[in-house]
Amino acid sequence: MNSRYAPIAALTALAVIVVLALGWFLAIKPKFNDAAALQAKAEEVETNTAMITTQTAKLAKYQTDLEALAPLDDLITANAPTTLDIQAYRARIFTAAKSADVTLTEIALSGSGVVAGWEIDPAARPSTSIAKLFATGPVVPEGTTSEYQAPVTQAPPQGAVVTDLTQVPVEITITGSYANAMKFLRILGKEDQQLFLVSDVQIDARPQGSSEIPGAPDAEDGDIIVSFTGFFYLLHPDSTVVDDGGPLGPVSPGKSPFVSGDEYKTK
Amino acid sequence: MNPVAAKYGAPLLASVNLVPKDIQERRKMRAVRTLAIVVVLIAIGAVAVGYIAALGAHALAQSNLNDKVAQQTEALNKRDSYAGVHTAYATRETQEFALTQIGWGEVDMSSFIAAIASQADGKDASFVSITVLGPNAMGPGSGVQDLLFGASVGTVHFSATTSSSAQASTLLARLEATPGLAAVRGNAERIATIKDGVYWTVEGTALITPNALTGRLFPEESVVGLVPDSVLDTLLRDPNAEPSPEPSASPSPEATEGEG
Repeated sequence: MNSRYAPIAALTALAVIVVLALGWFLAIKPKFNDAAALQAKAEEVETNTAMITTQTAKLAKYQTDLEALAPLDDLITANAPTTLDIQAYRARIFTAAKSADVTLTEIALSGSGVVAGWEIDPAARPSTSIAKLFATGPVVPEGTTSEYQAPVTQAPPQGAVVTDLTQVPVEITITGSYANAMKFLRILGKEDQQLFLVSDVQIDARPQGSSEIPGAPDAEDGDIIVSFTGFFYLLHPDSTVVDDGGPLGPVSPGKSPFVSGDEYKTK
Repeated sequence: MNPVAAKYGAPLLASVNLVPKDIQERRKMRAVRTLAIVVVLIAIGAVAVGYIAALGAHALAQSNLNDKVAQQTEALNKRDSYAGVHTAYATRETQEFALTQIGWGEVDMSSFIAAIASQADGKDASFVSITVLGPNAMGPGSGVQDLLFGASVGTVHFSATTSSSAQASTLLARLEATPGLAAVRGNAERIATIKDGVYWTVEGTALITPNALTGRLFPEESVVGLVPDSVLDTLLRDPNAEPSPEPSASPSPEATEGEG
């Protein structure tokens, strides 16, 4: 090449190189890099979506499996209600005593107590596995934040599964014939009623000539005295105080009930 | 030869370039410069084309990402619509444990006592007292259990009068054969005079076995694997023994103390 044009050619080449380099490094390459990053993020989101879809399928299976089981709500309502129906349980005992023709000599409603629930390794609980299926959150693009909050955030804690189970012990003493006493226990334990778990039973013979029991017929050979403790159970006991009546107004004292004698004899 | 010369018959002479050399050089220089500018412009154009292509790729990737994010949001919403499944299972677990714990120790006491009482005929053997210390939600029944005879869900203590020691043996044997009872033994036996008669009295103890339990409140199908055998195994397990790796209900320390 003519040496006169060489500088121009060199400058042109330099300018081309500079333009191409600047264009590549400052404009084109960053955009391609951004595009590659977006593509990588899209693949990450896609993988995450696939995982979430798998979790959804598992949850659907859990739901189907649970729906296939016989529900326990009725059994719970019947055997472990939230409140103890005082009138109902008293009526149940009195009716049983009357039907069985035994003499009910004592009922004692002892104080209720919390039953320490059985424990199980949380890992063995399906709800733990299910909670884990909600652990995956969204993958969010760079520079953005997610306000996503998982609907299930906690696995079941370590400890008892049932934490608010209460037992109400009722102590009962009856006397009567052996057959009638067994009938009383049978009526009391009928399965179509709230569970009344008879636990400790003390049976003593009450032969003829035994000491008199107020209100009970004279003892005969074969008669027995049965003392036992039964338990009612309440799940999630409701201790709300309910007063069905309205506000208390002025009440005039009538005839004194604090008297004894024939007027208030036990029938 | 140029066309004018050819027209007028000019002699065939060598042509002479009369353009001054410097003018010619300037022309060449302009051409070279123009060419250089064109080349640079082409380079700039190439950069522009590349940038546009990069913008397109970026926009395409952004659009793809937006689609994927939308799909992810849709998948999340669908998954989260199953949040109730967790609640349902937690409730089911509570129900299963509650029913099992309150009901595992249920004994049909009328039948059980009748089964025990019927072992004495009332002639050669009769009961003076029977005490049943059965299980409840707090755990196995209380009462002293002799480890030699094993531990079970409860104990029965009885006091009986028999016509002879042989009849006492018969009574113990019959009680042993009664379903729901095991390890029947006489703890204290002696001759006694009752109403002018001489009798052999027996104070005995027996274990209540799981055969006496109704088990009616055990869930037929349990999501946590609560089955009678595993529950009983756990309840009656030696507390010093190694824990079972299998999922099974275990009473808390308070529950095992029991109150009877």
